[in-house]
Amino acid sequence: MIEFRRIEIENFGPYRGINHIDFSSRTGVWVAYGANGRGKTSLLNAFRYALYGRVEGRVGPIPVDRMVNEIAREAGEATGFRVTLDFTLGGTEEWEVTRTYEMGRSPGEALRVSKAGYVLSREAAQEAVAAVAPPELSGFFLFDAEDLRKYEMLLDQDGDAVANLRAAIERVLGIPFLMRASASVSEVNDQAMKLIAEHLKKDNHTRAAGESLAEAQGIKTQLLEERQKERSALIQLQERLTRVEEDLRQHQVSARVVAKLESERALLDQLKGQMRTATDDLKEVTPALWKVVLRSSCERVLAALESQISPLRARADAATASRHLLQKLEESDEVCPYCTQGLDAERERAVRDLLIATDISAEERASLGRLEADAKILGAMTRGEPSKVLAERARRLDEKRLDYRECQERIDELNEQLEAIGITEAEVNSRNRERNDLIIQESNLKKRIDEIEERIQGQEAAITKLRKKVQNAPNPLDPAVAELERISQGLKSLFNKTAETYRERMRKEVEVKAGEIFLAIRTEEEYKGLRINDGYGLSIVDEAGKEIPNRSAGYEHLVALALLGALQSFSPNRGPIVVDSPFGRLDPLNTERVMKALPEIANQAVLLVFEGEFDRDVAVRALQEHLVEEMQLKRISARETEIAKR
Amino acid sequence: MATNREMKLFDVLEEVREKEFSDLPATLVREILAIHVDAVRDGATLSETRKRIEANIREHGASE
Repeated sequence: MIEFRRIEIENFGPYRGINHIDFSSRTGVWVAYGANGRGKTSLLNAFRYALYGRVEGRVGPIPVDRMVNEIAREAGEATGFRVTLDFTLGGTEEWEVTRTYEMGRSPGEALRVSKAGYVLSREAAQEAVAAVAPPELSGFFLFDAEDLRKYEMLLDQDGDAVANLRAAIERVLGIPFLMRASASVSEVNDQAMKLIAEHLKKDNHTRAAGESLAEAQGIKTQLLEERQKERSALIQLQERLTRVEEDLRQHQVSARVVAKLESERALLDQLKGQMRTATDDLKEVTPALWKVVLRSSCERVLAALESQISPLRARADAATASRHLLQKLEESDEVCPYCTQGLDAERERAVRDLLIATDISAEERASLGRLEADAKILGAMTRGEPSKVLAERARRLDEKRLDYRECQERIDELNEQLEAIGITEAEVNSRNRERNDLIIQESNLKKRIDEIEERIQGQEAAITKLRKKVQNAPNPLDPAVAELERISQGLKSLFNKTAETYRERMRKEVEVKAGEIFLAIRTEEEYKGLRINDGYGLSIVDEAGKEIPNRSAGYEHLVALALLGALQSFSPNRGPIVVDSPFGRLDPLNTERVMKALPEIANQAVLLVFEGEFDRDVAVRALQEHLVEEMQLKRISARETEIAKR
Repeated sequence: MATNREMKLFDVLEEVREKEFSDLPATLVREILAIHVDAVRDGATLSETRKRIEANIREHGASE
C-alpha cells in the first residue's frame, strides 16, 4: 500500500519556485481549492509526472517542455523543473522519487529513486517505480473526473481503448499471474514435446511419427516466433499511430486556441471601450478636484465671514422692521396699526430711537452685500462630496485597467501556445493521410495475428493427435521426459481453468463491493444495486433486478467511482487517489454522499476542486475528522500560482 | 508478505487443483504460481520464468 508523505514541486506549470504539500496523516482527505486556470490540472500532473514521467491534458498528452514555469524561465531563474514525491510502501519502506526535466539536456528527463535509504541505479529506478505504480493502472489513482465517463464503454463497446481498460482491471485483480503461468508451462510442454520427438526418431518403428511430431512442433515454434514478431510490429505501429493522432489532436487544440484567442481579442476591445468610458467619467469630476484641496480653508473663511455677517444682518433686519413700523404709524393717526392702542409722542419717539440705533450705514450695507456674496460662493464650494465620487470612479478605472492587463496576458499566453503547437494545415493533411494508412496497416496486422493464432491452435491439435498415435510406442520414454510432459500438460489446463474460475469469482466480488459503495453514495432510493457484465461494465438495477437504461452523466460518475473504489479494495498497490474536479457533475446531495464515502474508496484522497464546486460547510460536516487539510491555489499573477494554507 | 489478492489466487488455484487436477502435486503448483507472482514483482522475462519452472518440474520429478 502506498501512502503519500510529501510532494515538492519546483517551477512546474504555474508553480514558480518551490511549492509543497505535506501529507501529515496516513489517511484522510486533502482539498485544494482553485479557480479555473489556477493550476489544479498541473498539480494532478505533478503527481503523474513524478510516478509515470508524463503529463496529460483533457485531450491527450502534453509535451513535457511546456511545463517549465514561464515566469521563472523568462526571468532566467529556471531552465527546467523538478517534482519530488515522498511515500511509504507497505507502511514502513520509505521511497523518494525525484524526476527532473531540463530544456536542452539530452535526455531532458532524469529520474532519481531512493528506496529505504538506498539510491537505485538509473535502470533499476525506472523498473522499481513501474512495479510500485504500474503506468497502465495510473487511471485508477490519478484522474480527472471527466475521464470517469470512459468506464461506461465497458458496458457495450469493443475496440482497443476498451480492451486496454479491461486488461488494466484484470491486472488489478491479478488475473495476468495465471495467464503468464499458463504461457510458461505451455512453453515447458513444447520443450517436452521436442524431447519426445527426438526420442521417437531414434527407433525405426517410430521414426516417421517422431519426424512428423518434430516438424509439427517446429512449425508451431515458428508460428509462435512469427506471432511475437507481428505483435512487436503492432506495438510499434500503434505507438506511431498514437504520435500521429497526438499531432492531429494538437491541431484540434490549436483550432480551439485560435477560437479562444478571437474571443479574448473581442473582450480586449470591449475592455478598451470600457476603459475609455471610465477615464471620461473620471475626467468629468476632475475639475471639481481643487474643491477637495481647498475645502477646509473655505470652511474656515466661511465661518469668519458668517461671524461678521450675523450682527450686521441682525441690525439690518431690525432697522427694516422699525422703518416699516414708523411708516405704518405715520399712516394711522396716532393709533397703533397692530394693537389699536393710542400712540402718544413718547412712544413714537421710542420707536424712532430704536430705528436710529439699529439702522446701518450705506457703507455697512454695501459691506454686508459683499460679505453675503462671498459667503454664497464659499458655501457652494463646501457643499457635496467630490472626493467620494472621485475615488469610486478612479477605482472603476483601476478595475478596468486590471481586467485589460489580464486579458492581454491571456492573449500572450494563447499566442505562445499556438507557436508551441506549430503545426500547419498542410501538415495536418499529411498526418491525416498517414493516420489512415496506419489504421489500414494496423487492421491488416491484427488480422494476420488472428490468422497466426488460428494456425497455432490447428498446429496444437495436430501435435496432440500425433502424440496420441505414439502414446503406446514400444520403446519407453525417459521417465523424466514423460513426467515433464505429463505435469506441464496438466499444469497448463489447471492454470487455464483457474484463470476462468478466479475471473468469474472476482467479477462477482467486484459487483458486490462496487454495489455496496454505490448504495452508500446514490440518492435515488429506487436504485438498489449494480450488476456486472462479462467485460466489467456495471449497470444500475432496481428492486426487481431490472436494469435502469439511459442513466444520467451524474450517475455514470457515481457508478465509475463505485468501480474504482472496488478495484482499490482488491489492488495490492492500494493507494491514494488524486482527482481533478471530482464533483463537477454531481448535485449537492450526491456530492455529500461521495464525500462521506471517500474514506471507503481510498485511504488518502486529494481533491482538486474549483470554487463553488461544493458547499464547503456541507463538506466539512460530511468529512468530519477525515478532512486533514484545506489549501488554496492562490493567484499571484495570470501565470503564477502558489499553494497556500486556507 | 502475501497480499489479500495473492491469498485469494492461491486459494482458488488449490480449490481447482483439488477438484479436477488432484494428480498434480500441490507444492509444485503453488511454487509455479509463486514464481510468476515474484516474476511480475521483479520484472523477470517469460523465458527466465520458463527456465525456473522447467527446473522446478524436473526437480520435483526427481524427488518423487
